[in-house]
Amino acid sequence: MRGLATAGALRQVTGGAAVRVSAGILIVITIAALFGPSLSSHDYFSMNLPERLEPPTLDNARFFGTDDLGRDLFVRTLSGTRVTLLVAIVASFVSLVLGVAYGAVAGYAGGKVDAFMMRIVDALYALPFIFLVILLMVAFERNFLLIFVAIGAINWLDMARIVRGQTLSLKEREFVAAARLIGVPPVVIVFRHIVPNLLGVVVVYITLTIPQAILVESFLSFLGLGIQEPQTSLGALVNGGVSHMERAPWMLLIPASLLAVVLMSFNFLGDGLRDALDPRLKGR
Amino acid sequence: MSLLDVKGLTISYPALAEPVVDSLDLSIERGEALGLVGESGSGKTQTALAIMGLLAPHATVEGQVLFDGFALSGRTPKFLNRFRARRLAMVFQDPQQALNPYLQIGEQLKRVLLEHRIVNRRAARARVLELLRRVRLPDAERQYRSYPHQLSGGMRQRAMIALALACEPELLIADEPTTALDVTVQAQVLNLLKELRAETGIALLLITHDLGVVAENCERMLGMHRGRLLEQGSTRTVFRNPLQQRTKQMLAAAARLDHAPPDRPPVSTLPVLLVEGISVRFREAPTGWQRQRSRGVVRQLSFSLAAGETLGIVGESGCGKTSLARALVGLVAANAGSVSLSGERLAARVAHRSPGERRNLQMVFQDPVASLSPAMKVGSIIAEPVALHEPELSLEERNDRVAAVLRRAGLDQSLLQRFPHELSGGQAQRVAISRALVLQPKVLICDEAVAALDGTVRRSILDLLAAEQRRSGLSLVFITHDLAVVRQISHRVLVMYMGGIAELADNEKLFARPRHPYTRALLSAVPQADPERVPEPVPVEGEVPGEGRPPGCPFHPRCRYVLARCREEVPALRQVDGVDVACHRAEELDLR
Repeated sequence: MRGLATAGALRQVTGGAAVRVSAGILIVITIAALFGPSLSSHDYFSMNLPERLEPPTLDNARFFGTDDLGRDLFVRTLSGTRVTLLVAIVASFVSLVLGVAYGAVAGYAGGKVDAFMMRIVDALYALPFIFLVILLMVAFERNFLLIFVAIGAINWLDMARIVRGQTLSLKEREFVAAARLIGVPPVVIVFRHIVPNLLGVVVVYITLTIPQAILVESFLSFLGLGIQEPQTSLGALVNGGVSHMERAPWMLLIPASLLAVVLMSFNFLGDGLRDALDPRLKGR
Repeated sequence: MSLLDVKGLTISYPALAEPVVDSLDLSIERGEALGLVGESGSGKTQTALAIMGLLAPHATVEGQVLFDGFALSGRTPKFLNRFRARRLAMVFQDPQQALNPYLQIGEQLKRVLLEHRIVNRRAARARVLELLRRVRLPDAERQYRSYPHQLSGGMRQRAMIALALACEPELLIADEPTTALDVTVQAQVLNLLKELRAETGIALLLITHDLGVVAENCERMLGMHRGRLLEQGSTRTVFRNPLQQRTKQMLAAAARLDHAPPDRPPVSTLPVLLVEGISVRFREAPTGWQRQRSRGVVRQLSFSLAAGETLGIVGESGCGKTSLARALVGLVAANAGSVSLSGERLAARVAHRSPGERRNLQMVFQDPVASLSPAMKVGSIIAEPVALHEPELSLEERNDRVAAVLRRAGLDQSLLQRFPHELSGGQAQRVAISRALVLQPKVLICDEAVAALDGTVRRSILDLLAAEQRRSGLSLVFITHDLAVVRQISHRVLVMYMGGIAELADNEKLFARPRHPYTRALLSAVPQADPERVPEPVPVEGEVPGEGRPPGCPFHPRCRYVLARCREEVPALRQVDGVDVACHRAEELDLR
């Protein structure tokens, strides 16, 4: 019954060269972030002041050098990447599931239901984001999970609006009318006939969300609201690197380039996915 | 020397294996009208664009285009721009897209005149007004200040023609200039082109898929098929003695009103669908401080449909035929009246109808591709209604059901794995029909179901519906603007005008002797694929009023036979000689 384009989509994504390279880079980075730290003889939190601000060298496996407290940057960068990727994936997953479902249901229902659901979104929008985060921090213990909640909470709002707009135009299309005439229940119409046709837009928007989530996370970490020392993320490492830019440029350059590579790879992958998910573009 | 000489024109695109136009030769003499006919995808528009030098940059063009002995190929865009403006012009199918929505009509014309230094700034306005009058736009002063969206479709196309004629070209290329218009308006625009040709001696290259338009407007014609020249010659000769098999098929598929319809399936006396006093009103968005108003698009309409019967519903765009169809199936709720299926009164909205009622009343839409979900494969699309209505069937039984309906629709089983965009228009419409027929409905409503299809494909879809009707006693409501289609397939015809019935009669009676002046106008506006016939120049003036229903008979402002009574009193629908007609003068007028 589910003749969706998804299965073919994954095959299709492996098509374009840029897409293949991006996917490869992301896989390598993910594997490195997962297993790299445990292979090194160093850890991410031990300080070693005599060896502070050492440039990258192959001696003693200090591949990325050390930071201002003498901690090993290779391990810190990889474990920071792990946190960054996790934030990006969880935040976009929240935005995907919640935003698409909420927007599609509001758009298809229309009328008063739609107005009510979208006013809730507007109300959440009106809350100042930083205020919300501080409030969460005060209400609960300072917690790693809170960052995910906070970032997911703002991202799904945009997604819901975009999906609702698309749904409004899709539901006037004749294939939806045909489904109604057959007697397909509304919930099934939304998830079988409307949502699969939205995937192109959604995927493009997700590729915008991932970099945004990564940037928001580093911003929160900078304010001391996000990830806490000695744990770190790519954003936090970049912020730390900025203050030692002149004496130890590697502290900035290495995490910043890695961040840039991750962001670009996600963008290319998003472009490829969008083309693959659109059945009309297949076979070109 | 010919005005235009095209020699060995070949157009190809890197992505396509075959050239879209393959070594085509054509020539047009001064003042001549050449009809270029072919089905969609035959390369007609590509040829026109190549002549104008407007093809996309990645197209490869070989061959020669000589205008008045002067080679147009290989010139710079700047040169072409100057040359084209004064010597050849083009009118497109959709004037809405060809006119700038942000500029007043007069301003657009003025800019063209000034750009090409036809007149100076002071004389421009007078010249623009003259052009607008020349294309018979009523109240030229007002149209000068109108924006494109404020004009009706026919008036927009007139403005487009004025734009094309601004620099007094010697050749006008018109690409499907009337395809988007109603037949009555089409007749007006074609007549305007004829008069302009007589006045100015301009040559015309008329591109169309409609053999009737060619028969009535062109002295010479040229048929194309898949990028190749099929046949050319004087229109009379080609119609009388087509040399190619393909031309014969095209001529046979061109439906004619004067041909007796083929045998239609027999009708039982059992009424299956009964519509009583149905009305649909749409609320309009409130403008400014005005109160919200509502507009009646279907007014108190009643009719019945017997088992196995085909009822054709015709009318110009905006007459409410699509709203009527949507109200019958319950996609929009009727504001008054009732629809009964086999004696059971149906709920106004499809969501409130029972599964059995839904199953028995199905609909096929105009745009075959839009009516199939782009993300689902054909197999899933046709299986969905079966799974929903007969969940007890096993997967195999369901697949058998799908395969059987696909076979009846004349589709190959390999299509089951395709996505809708991989189908041709005709195949997509067969899939849409299969989805409706797999439920074995009693009534199928077809809303312009063949309007988007080419002649031969259209014919085969109509044959498919007739075969299904013979097989299962299906009743059809066939909504269309095309009278030739109605003539072929329907038992009875309902003519709609501004939401009401103008005339409801048997197929034979209606075409032999129309009782309503509006029916008469529609009939004589249809271009006939018969070069011998002398068509009536303008069967009816004006267009359906966009808003505001005239008092009295709604048709009276456009009616030739109008009396004082028609302006005041709304004519009731009554029986005259076995025909239901809403005209005060139905008995006395002889409209044959």
